[in-house]
Amino acid sequence: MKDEKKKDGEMGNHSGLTRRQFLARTGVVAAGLTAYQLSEFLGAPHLKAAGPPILIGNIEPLSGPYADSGQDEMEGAMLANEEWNAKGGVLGREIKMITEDAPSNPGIGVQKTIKLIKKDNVHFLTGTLTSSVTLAIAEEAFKEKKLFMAFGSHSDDTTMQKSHRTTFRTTSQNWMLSTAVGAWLGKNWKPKSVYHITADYTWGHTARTSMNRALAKSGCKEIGNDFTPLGTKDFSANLIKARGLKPDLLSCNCYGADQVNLVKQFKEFGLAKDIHLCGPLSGIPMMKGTGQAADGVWGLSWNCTVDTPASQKLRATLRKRYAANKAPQWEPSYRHYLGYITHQQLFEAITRAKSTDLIPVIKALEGWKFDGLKWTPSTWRNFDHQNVQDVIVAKAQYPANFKTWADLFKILGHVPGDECAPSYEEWKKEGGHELEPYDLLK
Amino acid sequence: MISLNLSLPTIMNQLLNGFALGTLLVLMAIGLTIILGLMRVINFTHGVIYALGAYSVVTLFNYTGFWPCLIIGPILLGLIGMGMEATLIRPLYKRDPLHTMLLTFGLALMIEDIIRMTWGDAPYPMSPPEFLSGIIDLKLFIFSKYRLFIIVFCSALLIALWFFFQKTPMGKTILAGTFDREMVIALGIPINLLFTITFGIGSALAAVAGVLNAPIQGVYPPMGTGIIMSCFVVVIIGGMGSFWGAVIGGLLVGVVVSFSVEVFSAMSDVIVFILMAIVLLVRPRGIAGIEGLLE
Repeated sequence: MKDEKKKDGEMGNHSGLTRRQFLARTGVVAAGLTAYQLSEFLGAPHLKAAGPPILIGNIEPLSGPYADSGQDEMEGAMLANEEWNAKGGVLGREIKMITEDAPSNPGIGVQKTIKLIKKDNVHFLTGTLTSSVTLAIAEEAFKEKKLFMAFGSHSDDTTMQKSHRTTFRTTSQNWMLSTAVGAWLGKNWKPKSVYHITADYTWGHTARTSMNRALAKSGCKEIGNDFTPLGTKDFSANLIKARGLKPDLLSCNCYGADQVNLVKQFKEFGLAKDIHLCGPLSGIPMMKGTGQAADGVWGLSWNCTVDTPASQKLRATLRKRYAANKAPQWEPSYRHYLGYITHQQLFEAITRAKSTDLIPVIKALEGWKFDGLKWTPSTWRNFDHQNVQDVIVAKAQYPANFKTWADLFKILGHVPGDECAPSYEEWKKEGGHELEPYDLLK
Repeated sequence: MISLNLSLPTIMNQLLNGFALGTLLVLMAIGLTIILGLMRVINFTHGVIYALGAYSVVTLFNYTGFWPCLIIGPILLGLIGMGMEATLIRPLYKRDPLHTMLLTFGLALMIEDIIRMTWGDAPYPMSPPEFLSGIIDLKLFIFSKYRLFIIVFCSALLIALWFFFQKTPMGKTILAGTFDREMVIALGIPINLLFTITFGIGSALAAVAGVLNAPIQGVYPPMGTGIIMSCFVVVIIGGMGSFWGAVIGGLLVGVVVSFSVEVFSAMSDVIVFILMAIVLLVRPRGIAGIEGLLE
């Protein structure tokens, strides 16, 4: 081989490629890349840069026990991005979102946050649902002076003990959900005793505390509690133990796949005969997995059956955008709502502030009243950045004529946010952390 | 906080619940221990085979319903296990046992990702078959029909396995091989075939456990990782390479976990590892283990 004479123009490395061929192939690839870039640019003629794109760093669990909900949040956010980009972007700039997977692990959440801030140079952070991850990201965001719109953490800490000037929380906090559910339970079932099964991390802990506080108002006392690690599959021993103690209520302070298994096993062990099931938080992501075992009275942040025209419009838009690739019974979940409404609110705030700088956008959000697609307006409350909004109480069910996931919940009532959120005095008493002065963020 | 609300019905319920958990662990531990005892292979794929057993129900259910899955799934996965052993693991026998352990670990990671790619990340909810759902209400206890079925089914399977290992030539050879592999080779028994069949039986048992557990706990990609740890703990407690060790270990772990949730739930996560630590300190070979095996 080595002794073969080189053909004319053959390059010295014996690859058998002539210079002409090399230039031709490289040229084709280069032309292709240019055409691709050009087409991207030409395909979006109305986004002729009034500035570079606004980058949103979106962190969601796309794997692990909460993957379904993470996917929904991302889809809701994407819909808002697309709607605004179709109208010319925000302040004339295109919205670009980079989603990173942080499956229920605060360490990974922080890693991804740092990557988004330092490497991708995002302007804003949004997302996630696991409360422990949310708290970790919120700390990092405050350190790095980035606005963090926390879609879906329900733990009270996020806007109480661990609040920050840079954190805003979209979904109803545990306090609000529990107060609404507790009031309904106290009025309708009059329970005297409650047994808790609690996911052993911040969200579960504050869920139990808030449920106890709400139920105590009607004289209901805790007679037992089990902490279960996040990701527990088998609650049989806990349920057997609970049955032995004969409570009026069983409060499921678990979420995601844990809640699904608990509700199914609640039915499997026949507890529904003697005990009422309840919990501060549920939604389609859970009850779609319980099948005929769907049961219990829960707090909801939103549901696709909220009968306001605005909610039904969002439901229709989400269905139009996503239903084609989903199961026949698919309906949007409240996680879609959270992703959508948060991004919509962020973009409106940027527009009002006429800037993407941190402090003007924060000030544009604080105290702002808006249409949260529910019955009464929602507010980004000043002193804690909690989105104070209507809270829904609903019964989970699997009716005989079940057709879609919209049939999984029967809305029993709703409570205005002002009546179920902690007052400033209560907030302070629980250890509410005063938001930092703006100067610290300069 | 320690709670001592131990009425007779509660004790009966937790005991039965412990047996339901335990018999599934026993099945998996027997599979793991014969592979460990005879082949000296630390088989990390055991967990993902269990997961594949559960996923086989997801795929086959619409065509066959639940019951045939109890047979088709394990047979399929037994064959897959045999194929894996013959092509991938066999070439490594002459090497350091660490190599086969690394291989099975790598395979486990790969197979879990293949599961995600094939069936997606989201958990599949599942329920027990119609006539086994609901509870059985005897005055002494109220218990889930499906879990009682698990106890009965696994016990029957265990008796069949015992019969296989004690009374059939192949079973006796496998059991003998866990005691003295060199003698089995010296007697001219085709050891490669024996290994392949053993791996197949182990995998099939893991798959049975997966099929049985799917209606209770649902089906989700990392389900194998969760169970494999408990299996190794059972094998260590019961004794590596021992059939009865796996049985005692599995039932013990199941019952201890159930009662620890009842009495001192904060400890229920770690109690099994404490038990394992005690066994390793006091009797490293395990309750019914074989002296010298990996000691």
